[in-house]
Amino acid sequence: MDTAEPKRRILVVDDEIGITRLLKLVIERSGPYEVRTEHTGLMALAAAREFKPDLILMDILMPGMSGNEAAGEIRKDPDLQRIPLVFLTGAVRETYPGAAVQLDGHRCLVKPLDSAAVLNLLRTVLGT
Amino acid sequence: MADTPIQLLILEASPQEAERVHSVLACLPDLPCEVQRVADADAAEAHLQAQRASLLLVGLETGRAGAEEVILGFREKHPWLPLLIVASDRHPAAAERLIRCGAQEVIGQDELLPDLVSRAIRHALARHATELARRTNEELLRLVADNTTDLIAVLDREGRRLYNNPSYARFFGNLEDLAGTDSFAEIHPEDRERIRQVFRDTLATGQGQRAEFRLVRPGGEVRRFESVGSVTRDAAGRPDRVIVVSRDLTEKQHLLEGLGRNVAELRVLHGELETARRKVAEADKMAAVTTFAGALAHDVKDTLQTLLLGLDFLRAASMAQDAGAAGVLEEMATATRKADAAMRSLLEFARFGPATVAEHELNGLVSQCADTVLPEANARRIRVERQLAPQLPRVRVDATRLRHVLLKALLDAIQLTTPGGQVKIKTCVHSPTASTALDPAARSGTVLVEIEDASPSPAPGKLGASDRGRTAHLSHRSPVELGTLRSVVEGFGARLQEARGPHRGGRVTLLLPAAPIPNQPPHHRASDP
Repeated sequence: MDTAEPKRRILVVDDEIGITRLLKLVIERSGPYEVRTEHTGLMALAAAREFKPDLILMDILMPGMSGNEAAGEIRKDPDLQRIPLVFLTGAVRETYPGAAVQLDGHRCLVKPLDSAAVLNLLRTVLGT
Repeated sequence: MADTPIQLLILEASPQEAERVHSVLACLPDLPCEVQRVADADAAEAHLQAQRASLLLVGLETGRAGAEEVILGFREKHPWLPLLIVASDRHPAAAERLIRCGAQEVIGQDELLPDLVSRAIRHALARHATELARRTNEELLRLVADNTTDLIAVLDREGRRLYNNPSYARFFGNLEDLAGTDSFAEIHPEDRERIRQVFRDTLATGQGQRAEFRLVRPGGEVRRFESVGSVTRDAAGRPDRVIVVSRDLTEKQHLLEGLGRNVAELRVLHGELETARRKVAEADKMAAVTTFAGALAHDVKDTLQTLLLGLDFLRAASMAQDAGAAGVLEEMATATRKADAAMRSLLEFARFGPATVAEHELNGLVSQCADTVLPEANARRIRVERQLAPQLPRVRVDATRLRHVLLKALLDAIQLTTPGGQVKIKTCVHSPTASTALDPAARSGTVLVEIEDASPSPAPGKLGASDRGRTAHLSHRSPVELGTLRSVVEGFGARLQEARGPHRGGRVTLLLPAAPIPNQPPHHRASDP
């Protein structure tokens, strides 16, 4: 009998490839997580429909479709609208790194944040 | 001699003598005369008042009292009329007296022969013409001397004044008091000996020299003069007088000094203006940092984010094996957080509000920016060529941010261009038929600004190497990348594209929304007929 805990799926979207690589590395090494990375809002939409993530971590300022626009499309999709979405952005001012603020009804973490803040977020949102 | 007959008036009391003269004149075919005769001076005067005469021939009893007064009277009343005297006695002394009284020629009654009379008439007419010319010249010179503001003096060999024109009265008062005085006396003591030497040299060589000196007026006022001398010569050809023409330079000197002061002040003002202009240009460039700070923060924070996650990962991986490495990684993480804090401080300083969009004249904004970057262009020997289309429609933009983007794009183009090259900035109305491949969002009602650099081509294989889709051309740019500029212009409804030529150079194109033209449909372009 397989007692392994099912892996929780996390979609990480950021146009900075170094960030997505490291987030994938840090998150997957920390526990039963499967991370998929994308670099544009448009690709994130397609990936969300196919990958069916438990959580989406998404940058806001990206070329083409921005994180806000992608989040709007996700909210319109009945299959995706219940997926928790957290923005990761450096474009929010007057907040300190790791601070959680609300943006368009979504939780938002201010870059740069360390690994502990990311993992703490996963535990809070996913209850892991 | 003139072909026209000589109007000859004979004043002769004796009819016989008059007839003699007349008969001699009749023998002069080459000297045609129209002769009239009067018997006394009053009749002659009446005749001359009534009609013209070109020669007055006077028969004189030389020993008769008042003969010379008659000549003097005619000379005074008719200075233009030549006088030929036929004297009863042609004694040389008597003839000389008559000449001194104003007669041009004297012949004796015994010389009334055709040849002699003909010669005498010709001499009288020629002498009179010469004398008239001399008198005319003298009158002209006198008028010049009396009316010029220059000072004219005639000095003897010792420098004593023989003549001073009326201009001297302005400086020394009564002219009569100057006659015979030392012309060097009023020269400033420090200049006097030098001017004496110039005077001596002029006399010795006969060559005038130009000299400047100061003159002290009776009241003590010092004025500056420039003078030039020339010599006249005596019968033996030796310089005997010096004519000195002087000009008062004092006012000119004051004007020149004033002009010099004005020029110096203008230079100072020009320098201050230039400094102010440079400060404004520098302030504009500094202000551009504010515009770019928000977009720049995104790039920097992403970089810091990568560093922080990487350091966390390495620290976790190395903690068990090497405590020293873990310490180093912790220090690096601390440095990364400090960099983030510094970035946030900069953002606080460079806070900027929402875009302020209004209608603006594009070519004016472009010209301002091209002017601002000239020092950088000149320093790199790069020519900034402007091709600004006339009659562009106004554009709806945030002028401050557009100016900052243009400045940044121009400065980048200058940095990317090889020294000695050219950067071109061009404005035009977007034409849908243009061969340039533009963003599909661009349509009529769009005004373009294109900035072309002459950067060298990247090495083959580097193009497209970036995994973010940026060309190798962009990899040469400064930290404020085109992505940052793009974010800024999109903030006020414009767009930005970048393209690279097949061989050389890059082009950044800004697509700006044109303001609606009054009384025209919304999409009617200004360039449409």
